[in-house]
Amino acid sequence: MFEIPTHLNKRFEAGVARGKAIAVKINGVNIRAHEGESIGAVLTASGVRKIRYAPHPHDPRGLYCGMGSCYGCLVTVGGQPNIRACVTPVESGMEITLQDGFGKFTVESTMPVPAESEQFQIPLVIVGGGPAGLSAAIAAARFGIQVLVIDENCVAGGQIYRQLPPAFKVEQASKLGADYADGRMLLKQAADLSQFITIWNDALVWSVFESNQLAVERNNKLILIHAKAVIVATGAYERPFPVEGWTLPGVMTVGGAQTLLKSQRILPGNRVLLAGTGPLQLVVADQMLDAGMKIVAVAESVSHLIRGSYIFDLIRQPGLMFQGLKYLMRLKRESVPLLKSSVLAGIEGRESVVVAVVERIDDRLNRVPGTRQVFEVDTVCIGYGLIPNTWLTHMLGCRHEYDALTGCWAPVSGNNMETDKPGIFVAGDGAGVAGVLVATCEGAIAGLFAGAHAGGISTADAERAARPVRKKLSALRKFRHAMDRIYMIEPDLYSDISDDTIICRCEGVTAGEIRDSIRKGTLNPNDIKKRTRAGMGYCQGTNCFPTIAMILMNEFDVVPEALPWMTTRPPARPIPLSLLVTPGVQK
Amino acid sequence: MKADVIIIGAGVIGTACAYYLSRRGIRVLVLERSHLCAGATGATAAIISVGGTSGTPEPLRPFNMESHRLIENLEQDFEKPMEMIRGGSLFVALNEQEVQEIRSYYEHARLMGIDGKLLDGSEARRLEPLLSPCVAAAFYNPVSYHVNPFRLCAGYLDAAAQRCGKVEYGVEVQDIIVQKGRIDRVVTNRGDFHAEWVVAAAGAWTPQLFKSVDIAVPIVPARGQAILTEACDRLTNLSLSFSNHVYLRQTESGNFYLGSQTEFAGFEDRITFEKMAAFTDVPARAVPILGRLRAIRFFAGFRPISGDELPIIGPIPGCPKIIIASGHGKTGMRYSASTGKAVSELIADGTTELSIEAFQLKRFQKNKQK
Ligand SMILES: Cc1cc2nc3c(=O)[nH]c(=O)nc-3n(C[C@H](O)[C@H](O)[C@H](O)COP(=O)(O)OP(=O)(O)OC[C@H]3O[C@@H](n4cnc5c(N)ncnc54)[C@H](O)[C@@H]3O)c2cc1C
Ligand SMILES: Cc1cc2nc3c(=O)[nH]c(=O)nc-3n(C[C@H](O)[C@H](O)[C@H](O)COP(=O)(O)OP(=O)(O)OC[C@H]3O[C@@H](n4cnc5c(N)ncnc54)[C@H](O)[C@@H]3O)c2cc1C
Ligand code: FES
Repeated sequence: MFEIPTHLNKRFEAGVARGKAIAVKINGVNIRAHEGESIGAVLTASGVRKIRYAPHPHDPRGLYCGMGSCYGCLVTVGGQPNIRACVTPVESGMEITLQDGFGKFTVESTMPVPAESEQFQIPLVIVGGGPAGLSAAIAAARFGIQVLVIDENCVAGGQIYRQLPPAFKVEQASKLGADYADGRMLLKQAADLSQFITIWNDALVWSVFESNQLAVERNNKLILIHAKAVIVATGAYERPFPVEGWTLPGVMTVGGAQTLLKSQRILPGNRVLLAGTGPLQLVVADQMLDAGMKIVAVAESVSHLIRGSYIFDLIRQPGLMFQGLKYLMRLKRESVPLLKSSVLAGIEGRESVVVAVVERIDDRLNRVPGTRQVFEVDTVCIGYGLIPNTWLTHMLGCRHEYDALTGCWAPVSGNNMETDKPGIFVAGDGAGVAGVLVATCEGAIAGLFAGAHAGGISTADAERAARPVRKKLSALRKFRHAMDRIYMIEPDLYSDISDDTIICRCEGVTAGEIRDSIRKGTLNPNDIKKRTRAGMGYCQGTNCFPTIAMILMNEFDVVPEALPWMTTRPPARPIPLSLLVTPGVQK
Repeated sequence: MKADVIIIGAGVIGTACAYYLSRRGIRVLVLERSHLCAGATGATAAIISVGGTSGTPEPLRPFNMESHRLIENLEQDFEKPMEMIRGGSLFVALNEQEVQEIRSYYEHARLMGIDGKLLDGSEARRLEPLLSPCVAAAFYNPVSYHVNPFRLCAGYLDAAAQRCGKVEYGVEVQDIIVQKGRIDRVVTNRGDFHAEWVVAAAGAWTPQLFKSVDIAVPIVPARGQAILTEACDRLTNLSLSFSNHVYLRQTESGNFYLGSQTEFAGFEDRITFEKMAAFTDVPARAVPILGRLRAIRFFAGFRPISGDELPIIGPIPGCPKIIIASGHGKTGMRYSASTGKAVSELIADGTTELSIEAFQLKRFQKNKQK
């Protein structure tokens, strides 16, 4: 069922010394690992790509999102099933069992020690420790406001500034790139203000009670927090782009592949095809070439990477433009074909990916017959843009609007990054995907005005401090707007999903079943959910709702304004039931 | 299609009425403001029992027996299985007071002809190895089963549609206009609808249907909250019940459903921490493996509960062709089939096989006058 090779090692070092070598057992086989590596990284480094058979349908799965959002990589650790391999660090002597269907709970299992609990109040809570959240914290702390930053990763920094595991040692920082250095700098600024900024890592905001009380899980402890102001800076995740075969091991999001490369220093595969749109796949292609991977092609859905009509907006940010051109030249130099107006049309393989198919599209996004190109690969990276993570803003009851340019919903916010709910602010990709520079500016503004709301700064001071940031932000937004126009995601891009394609990865629901349920029922995703189970899985629709929305808009003429969301419910991520059996919290 | 009967609400009661009416060849049109199972039925545990924690009040006993049998046999008429899990139910007692409680359930079930069993702690653990030593005793009721509520309602509705039923979603009934004791029209956000009969099955929202008809329908929302866990291999076919209206079952897809208690908090659908903690505590102690499962979704539903906790089934004063079918409270799933059947008989025959005398709306008006 599962093969565990013992001779492979897909690690590369490039300026980094790994943590101490340790041994873990995978299905009883001794495997080398290093402190700081995730289970998913160890599996990938050893050449184990098929990590699980899903219960329904019984098909093989591997690492997909790499950021804890898709729940595709569940493994059993010790006696505890359904642990996400991609975000769980290995420990010496760990026994990892790959799951065939459901993980096994044994009847002898005992109840874990009930969690502890705590309640407290603080002026300002920031959820998300990426560039937006950290910038917000720094801006507020400079005015002496007590800030708590909560992030579910083991190290703050967010997606772009994803840091190396603490057990890894940096030997040559220059090899880690500019993002790494920028991230270190931001974290250092925050650390310098540590008398005002507290950062909680490995801490999940999983619910909202009584309109603004945040429930946090940290070290199996339940903490209920009341804050005067909340900044939601929860970032974004990758847009699902379903094609037949996209659940096979070896198919990853481009960000998932990047995480393995960047912060685990492990090759996600040998021969890779990248398919998607926008600059992120160029960034990652560059990182893959650095690591010595073979890229067979990069398929880009748009026809022109730079369009004349936006050139003025683009040129305002010469640094960013230049960077983009550098990536393109690199591809050329290394003879990697860049296929424009091309989309991923299918993935084939039995146990894992062996073939990826790319097809041309015309100006109206229709597939052009006779343009199929077949590539032999072991890895496919999908990167059709990002979607704001709006779980928390939905839970907090903020108003959201659909943005046709980026093809997703985002919370509505004003000049000061405050939502329609007083005291609730947003910043960064979670407020609408716009990249790291915008995230930093928005974070600073949100930090200042949330600080003002919490009573630590006068509004006049906040306004004065925000002025230079606003100027920068408006220029950046123009650039971003131009980029969004170029890389616009239209529902039509989703027009060719075959009935057999799985849409809901968690529950194994196909496009055909979803279409059938729409015809029998209504155009409401909650109805589709009840009829098909799409959205009832671990990720609670995070990774299937966007596609269902696209199907509704594209095939059933639903306008975004009339499209209800799947009801947002706690928890943000699965939480152990034992957390609710908490002594000390009044029941 | 011209409908003979307009049914308001596509919860379990509305869809059951549609099913039984269509079996009598009566043309029905279901008007639902949202979608299938948008109300209480979307949050239900869907345990179909005889007797039970709250006991079955005398007038409901024949309904209970009949409905239990009817639902068990519905699948023959349905396109898709309703994911019925027959394992019986186990009422678990952790202390002396609860031991007394379950004894009364046992007696009660016997009254209804159920051959249940009272078990001591070790017998209970033999029957259900998931139970921990803290379980002192249990009452086993062999006839309970549970179903997937969406499948049950879709089954009712699709089978009705195959005969002579139709459903319109997104239609919100705003008023029912009566003239000279007859239904003039049903006013909705999508214009007026006409039919000779109306069945008001809008769950906890039923009172809101009567704007120009001057009657008070004493139904209020009784909130129940629930938790769904991640799925795992089948661990039990039993549904397990505890004191204070707490129970759990493992669905066909492997998730555990854990609920729910009862609160009167209007239509507030926010989840509250206190309640979830309150109904997780005891089951997690009695079934330790629960503590290792993770919750993936919390939700809430509004049971339509009447003043005396008996359903309201029958015509309204002043218009014999408007029939209320609601107020089933904590046990609407189990009474759905008999309610649908009785409503169909009332409309087709003018009389019902099982007496619905005790469920008439007028019982409340009598009280009022006192
Ligand atoms: C996978 C991926 C790879 C990317 N790679 C690049 C790149 O190479 N170059 C580039 O320019 N841009 C990249 N981007 C975009 C870039 O990361 C963002 O523009 C930038 O990081 C946005 O910063 P942020 O602070 O808004 O969000 P993020 O950096 O995403 O930070 C959000 C943080 O919030 C935390 N969080 C979310 N929900 C909760 C919760 N409920 N409880 C606790 N914590 C929570 C997350 O763990 C995360 O650390 C990438 C984005 C993604 C998703
Ligand atoms: C947590 C919980 C657990 C439960 N467990 C069980 C159990 O184990 N066993 C059991 O037997 N029962 C159980 N019940 C009770 C049972 O689920 C309910 O009694 C039953 O679902 C009520 O069904 P209904 O059709 O009357 O109402 P609902 O399901 O609420 O349906 C009413 C429908 O009417 C629609 N509507 C409302 N107003 C209008 C309007 N103006 N126009 C058009 N449509 C309208 C609504 O959208 C809704 O779809 C439970 C309930 C809850 C909440
Ligand atoms: S993909 Fe996770 S619930 Fe659908």
